[in-house]
Amino acid sequence: MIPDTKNIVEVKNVSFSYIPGNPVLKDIDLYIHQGDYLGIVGPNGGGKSTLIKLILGLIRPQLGSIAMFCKNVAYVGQKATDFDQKFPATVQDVVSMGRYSERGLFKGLSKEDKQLVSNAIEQVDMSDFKNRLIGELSGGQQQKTFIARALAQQPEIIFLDEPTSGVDQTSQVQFYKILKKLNQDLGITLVLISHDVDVITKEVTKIAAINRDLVFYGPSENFIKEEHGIKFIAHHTNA
Amino acid sequence: MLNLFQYDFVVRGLIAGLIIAIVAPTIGVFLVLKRYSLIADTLSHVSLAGIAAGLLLGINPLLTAIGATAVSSILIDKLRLSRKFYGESALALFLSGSLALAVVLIGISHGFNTSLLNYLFGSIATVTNSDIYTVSILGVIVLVILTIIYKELFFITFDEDSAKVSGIKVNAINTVFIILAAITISLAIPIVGILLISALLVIPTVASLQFKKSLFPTILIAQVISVLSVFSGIILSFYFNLAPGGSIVLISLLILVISHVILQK
Repeated sequence: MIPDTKNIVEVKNVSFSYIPGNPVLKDIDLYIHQGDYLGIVGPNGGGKSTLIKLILGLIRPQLGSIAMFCKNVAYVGQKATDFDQKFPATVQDVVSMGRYSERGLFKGLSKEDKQLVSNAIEQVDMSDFKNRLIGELSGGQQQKTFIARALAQQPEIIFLDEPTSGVDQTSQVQFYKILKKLNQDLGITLVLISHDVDVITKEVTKIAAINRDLVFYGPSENFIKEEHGIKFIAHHTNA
Repeated sequence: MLNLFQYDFVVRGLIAGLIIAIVAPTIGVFLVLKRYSLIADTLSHVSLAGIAAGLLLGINPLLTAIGATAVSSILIDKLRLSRKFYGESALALFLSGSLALAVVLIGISHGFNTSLLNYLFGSIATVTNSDIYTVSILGVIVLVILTIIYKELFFITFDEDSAKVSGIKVNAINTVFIILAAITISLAIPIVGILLISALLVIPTVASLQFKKSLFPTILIAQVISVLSVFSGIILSFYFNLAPGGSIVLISLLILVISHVILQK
């Protein structure tokens, strides 16, 4: 068991409903610690994406509080591979976006920014494709580009929502390898949503299983061992 | 053959046309990529209400049009964010509402007249010297502000959620952009007319996107297509006594079709 480090995200008693009286999330308590590689699993409609959006401040909870104790947060959304495939942006353009908020209005990217961008592209092994339009790439390559954009941001934590949907098997393996490297070598905290419980439990170190309530939270090996986890997998892998 | 440059109104039309031809597709690229094309149409109808009010009150209609579209653009953006209306229905409300207001105002000021028709379909003859100043100054302001927010707008247009999470002031940038779009639409009225403005914003963009370049070259190509269309449209309309707005739009459509055929090969 990995000892818990400092909290970087605290979710306390959070409830949220899109339609009043029909909560998507109920009384969620969840702490994310620095260096965690947390997998959020659960059935479709169980509230996984909603929880991430709440943590990121894209939507506000009706009850409870959410605190984030880190400055630099990156997000690779569910729609990352579902964007306008004709969008006029190259890999280099997309990854450069990761530096924009740091620069501020009207300022172009500095030498260091450009170096960070090309390092990030290199880290996901996309240097050969940096001048290609993003829409001309395969799903796996697009996803790597979005990871590179997150990396260029030099984040403390990256949230990924179903990052491997629409990505072929070989690319998935490569993709998880990159994530592991980011977590172990660079110490970036990762929060990964997936409905693919089988795969994700092998990759992450901690699991939060969500189906409106927080059904399980702890080290992933416990999740696999526990009868609870097995039941959860049995119930929801085909959801 | 007549020398068109000896006519002041043609020169004025060409100057105003050049500025609009550069500004309109620059805004248009972002509108199209944000899937806001319908906003251009809506705001052009709002501008008609603004013009009708200006004509009625004896104020420069270009200014009242800018005022009306700028205020409406902010309201439309607020409605869009509040999600109180289903999808694009907020736009439909503004479109029909402002058109209704325009019709009523036109009725009060004793019906349609030539100047109103000019605003509907565009006529370079109506471009005054003061219009040139307004168009030049505001056109430059729009381009400068767009340059300032360019990279943020690029990110937001591509991926709004990630931009927000990374710390970009998404709502503020979107509001500034929609006001810039409102100003641009009002500025284009004297040349292409209310009913054809969205074409000047959209067609060069759609044509340019076919070249499959990254954003900045896409904008430049759209500007070139737009300048070509506006210039040749004005010149043809002068020699063959055609409606300039219609000619400009038809030429830009022709360029779109030709580039499509060539690039498909």
